[in-house]
Amino acid sequence: MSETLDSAIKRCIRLGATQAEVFKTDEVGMNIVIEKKQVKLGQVKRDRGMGIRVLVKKDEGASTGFSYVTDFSRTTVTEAVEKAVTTAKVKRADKDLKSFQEKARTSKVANIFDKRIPRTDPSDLIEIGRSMLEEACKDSRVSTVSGSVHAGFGETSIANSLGISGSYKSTAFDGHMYVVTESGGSVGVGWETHSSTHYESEKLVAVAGYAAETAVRQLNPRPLEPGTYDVVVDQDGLADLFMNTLVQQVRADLAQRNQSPLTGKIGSEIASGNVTLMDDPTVPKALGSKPFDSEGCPTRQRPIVERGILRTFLHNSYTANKEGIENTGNSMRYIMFGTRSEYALEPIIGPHNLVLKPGKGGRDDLIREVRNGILVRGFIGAHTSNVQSGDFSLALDCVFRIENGNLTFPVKQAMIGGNMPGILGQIRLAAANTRQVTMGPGMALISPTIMIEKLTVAA
Amino acid sequence: MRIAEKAVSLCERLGADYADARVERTYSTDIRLMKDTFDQVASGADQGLGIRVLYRGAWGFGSSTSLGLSDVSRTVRGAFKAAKATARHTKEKARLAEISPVKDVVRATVKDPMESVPINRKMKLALQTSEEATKVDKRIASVTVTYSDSSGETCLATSEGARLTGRPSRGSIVIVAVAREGAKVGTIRERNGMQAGFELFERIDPLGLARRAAEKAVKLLRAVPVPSGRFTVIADQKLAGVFAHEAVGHASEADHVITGESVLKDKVGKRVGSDLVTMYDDSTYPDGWGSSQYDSEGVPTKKRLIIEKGFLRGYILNRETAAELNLDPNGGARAQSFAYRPVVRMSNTYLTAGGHSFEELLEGVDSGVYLKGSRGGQVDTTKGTFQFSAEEGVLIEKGQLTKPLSDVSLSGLTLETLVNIDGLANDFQINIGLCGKAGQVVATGMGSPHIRIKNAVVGGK
Repeated sequence: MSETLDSAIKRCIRLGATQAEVFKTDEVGMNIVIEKKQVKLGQVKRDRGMGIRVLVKKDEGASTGFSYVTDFSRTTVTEAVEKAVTTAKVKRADKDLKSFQEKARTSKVANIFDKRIPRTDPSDLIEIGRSMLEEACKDSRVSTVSGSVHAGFGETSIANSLGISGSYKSTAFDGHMYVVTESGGSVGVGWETHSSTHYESEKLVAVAGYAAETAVRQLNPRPLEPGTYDVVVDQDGLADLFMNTLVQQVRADLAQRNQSPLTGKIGSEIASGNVTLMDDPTVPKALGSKPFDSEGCPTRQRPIVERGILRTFLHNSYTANKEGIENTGNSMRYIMFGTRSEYALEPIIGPHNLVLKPGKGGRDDLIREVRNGILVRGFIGAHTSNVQSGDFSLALDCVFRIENGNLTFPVKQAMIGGNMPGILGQIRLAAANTRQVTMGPGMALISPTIMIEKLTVAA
Repeated sequence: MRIAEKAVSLCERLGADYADARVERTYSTDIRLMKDTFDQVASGADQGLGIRVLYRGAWGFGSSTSLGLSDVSRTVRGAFKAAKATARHTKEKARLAEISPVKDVVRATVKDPMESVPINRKMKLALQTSEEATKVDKRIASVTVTYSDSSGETCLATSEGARLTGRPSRGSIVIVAVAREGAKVGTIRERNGMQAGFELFERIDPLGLARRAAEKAVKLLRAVPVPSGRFTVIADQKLAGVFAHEAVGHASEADHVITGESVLKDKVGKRVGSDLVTMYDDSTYPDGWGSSQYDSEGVPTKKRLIIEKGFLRGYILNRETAAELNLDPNGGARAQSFAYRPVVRMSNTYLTAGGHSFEELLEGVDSGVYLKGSRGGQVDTTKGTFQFSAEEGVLIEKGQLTKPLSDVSLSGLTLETLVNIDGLANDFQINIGLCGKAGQVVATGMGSPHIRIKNAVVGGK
C-alpha cells in the first residue's frame, strides 16, 4: 500500500500530532555533460519524496518534528511519522510556535511551465550541446571546453491538517559553459551560465560564444596595483555574494535571533537611494516564481529595500506568528552547501525572485562611466563570508581592468574586502541589462550589472 | 541486490557494453541546535537506484528514488537511451581499465547501530555539547551544534560480475561558537567524526570540542585586522590540510588532469614542491572519514602516493581515466549516493609530518603570520590559484607569537607555495571535511602537520 498526502496526514494525527503537514515534490530531470570538447554523458533522474512535519501542542506553546521518506510504503511512512512525533514530544515547548500555515486563498501561477520540456528527449539536449561546442570552439586558442545542459519538470504539492491543499507544475531549462584558452604559455578562463523555466536553446548557444570570448580576452593577464577601485560586478558574482550575505541577513528568523546586522533596522537607510530590491514571485519564466511557498502560504510581490530604506524582513509562518504580523510567504527548503531535495528539508526562509531595479543604458554604457576600476564576473569563496558581521574577503574570478571607460587588460589575481550591507551604500550605477541567475532551488536573482564605488582591492 | 542485478541484466539485454547498478537504503539523522533550541531535527529514510550504462564508448546514467518495477525499468531504459544518443557523436570513446571483479561483503565495525539509538538520545547529546560551550564564558553569544549520522545498506552489481554489499555507518558533530563583546564578534567552528556506530561519540569527545570552540571564539575578540602583503606564514594542521586538499588534491584528480584543468598536468616525475613535501591520498587510513575498502566502481582502494619529496608521483584515478592515461586504476571513484554517477574524488588527503617542533618553525621568523583553521576555501585548479579564509591569525614578531589577528586570508599560486614550504613540524593531525565537486558532496579527511611557507600572500581588510 502506498501512502498519499491525505493518508499520511491522517496517520500523523492518529499517532499523536496536533497538526500535520506533508510537502511532496516529484521531479523528472535530464541533463548532458560536456567534457573535453565533446558531449560525454546523458543522465536521467527521477526524484520524488515526502517531507512530513508534525506539530504537537503543549501546556505552553508547541513543538515540531520532521522526517522524510522516498519510499511511500505504509511501513516506512509509519516509522517516519513515529520519529517525527517523538521528536516533537522530546523538544522543549516553544512558546512562540502557534500553528502551521492557516488556509488562505492562493495566488495565480505565473507562467513557469513550458510544455515543450516534458517532451524533450536526451537527443535534443545533445544537439544543443553540439551547437554550444561548435560556438565555443571557433577560436584556435580554445584548449578545453566543458559544460552542461539540463531540462526538468516536476510537481510540488502541499497539504496540511488545517485545510491547505495545493499543487503546481513547473519546468526548468539551464546550462553553462566553461572555456579554457592557451596561447604562448598563458592560460585564460571564461564561463557563462543561463537559467530559465523555458526552453531557450538559442540562449545557451550564446552562452557558449560569450564564455569563449571571455576566455580569449583573459589571456596574458597583468597584475593589478593594490588600491581603491570602482568595481563593476556581473549578475553571477552578485548572486553568489547576495546569497551568502544579504539574503541571509534579511531572513526574519536570523534577525529575530539577533544574527543579522540588520536587526532593528526596518525603516532605516541601509543602501544608497538608487537601490530598490523586490521579492517578486510573479515574474513570468522566472526560476523563483510560484503561487505559494513551501508551507502553502500564498506569495506576492513586495519590496525589501525601497530607495535605500529597509522595508521588511522575509517571514515564514513561525516568524510571522512570533511577531504577530503578516506572513510574507517566504518559507523555502534549501541548504547553503551541497544539494539536497526539497522534500528532505525542513522549511527555512529565503527569497523567491530577488529583483534589483535596473538603471539606464547597457553594460557597456556603465563601463564607460568608470574612470578607475575593474570588471568582475564572479567571486571565489563567497561562502566564507561572515553573515553576522557582514564582513567578506573574496578572491575575484575573471577580472578586467577598466581605465577611463575602457576595458584595457585582463587582471591576474586580485581580492576584495568589504562589508554587507556596507557596500549597498556604495552602489552608484546600474545598467539595464537585466538577467536572471539562480541562487538555489526555487530562488533567483534578477538583476542588472552594477557598479560599486571605491572598494579596497588587494593584488 | 536483486533490484541491482535486475537492472544490470536489463541493460545487457538492451545491448549495453557495460553496466553497473547501485541500490541503497539509508537512514539518517540531522540535528541542529542553536544554543538550547532545536532548530532542525530531521529523520530521513532514503532509498534509490543508480544505473550507469556504457554503450559504444558513451555513458548514460539514471537514478530513481522510486524502486517500483515500472519506475526501475523506465530509469534503466532512460539511461540506456541517453547513452545511445550520446554514442552517435562521441569521438573519444570511454574505455574502462581492466580489473578483476570482486564479490565481497563489507561491514563497518559497529557496536551501537545508529538506527537503533532512539532520536531523544541523539538530541540529548547535542544539548549537552551546546551547554558545555555556552558555560565557558559569559561572552559566548551563540552556539550551534550540528549532529549528523547515517547508516544503511548499499549494494553494487556490475555486468562484469562484481557483487559488493556494504553496511556503512558514520556520525559527526560540528560546533560553531560565537563570542560577542560590543561590536566585536569572534566565530570558531570545530568538528569531528568517524565511520563507526553511535559509540564513536565517546571516542571523539564532543564536550572537549565544544570547550575548545568557545575558548577560541572568546580569544578572537581581542583580534585586530591584519595588514595585507607578503609574509612568512605558519599554517596549522587544519589550514595546511585544507591547502593540501583544495589546492593540491583537486589538481591531482585525473579527470582535471585530462581535461587540462590542472596545474599538475604533464608533471609526473617532475619537481612540484620543496624536498620536504610528501603527500598522499589514502583511502585506507584507519577509521578515516574518507576511507573505504572499495570505491563506487567496485575497485579495491589504496594509499596513493601523490607527491614524494617534492616530486609528483601520481594522480587519483577511476577506471576511465586510468585507461586513458594507461595507468593501473587505484580506486578513486566516489559518488555521493545512488543518485549520482561516480567521479574522481579524494578520500583522506594529507601532507606527511616533518621533523621539527612547532617552536623550531617559529624560530627565525622575523615578521610573519600564524594562521589557524579555515572558514573554507576554493581553488582554480587550471590556473593553480587558491584563496582560503583562516579562522584565527596571530602576528609573529622576532620568533614570538604576539597579537591575535582577525579575518585573515591566505592566497597564492599552488606550485609556488609548494616550493616555498620550508619547514614541517612533527605534529601531524587529520581533520574531517566535506568536499564539493560536480554537484556532489562527499566526506573527506584532510591532514597535515604545522607547515611554514615563505613569501605567502596574506590578505585582510
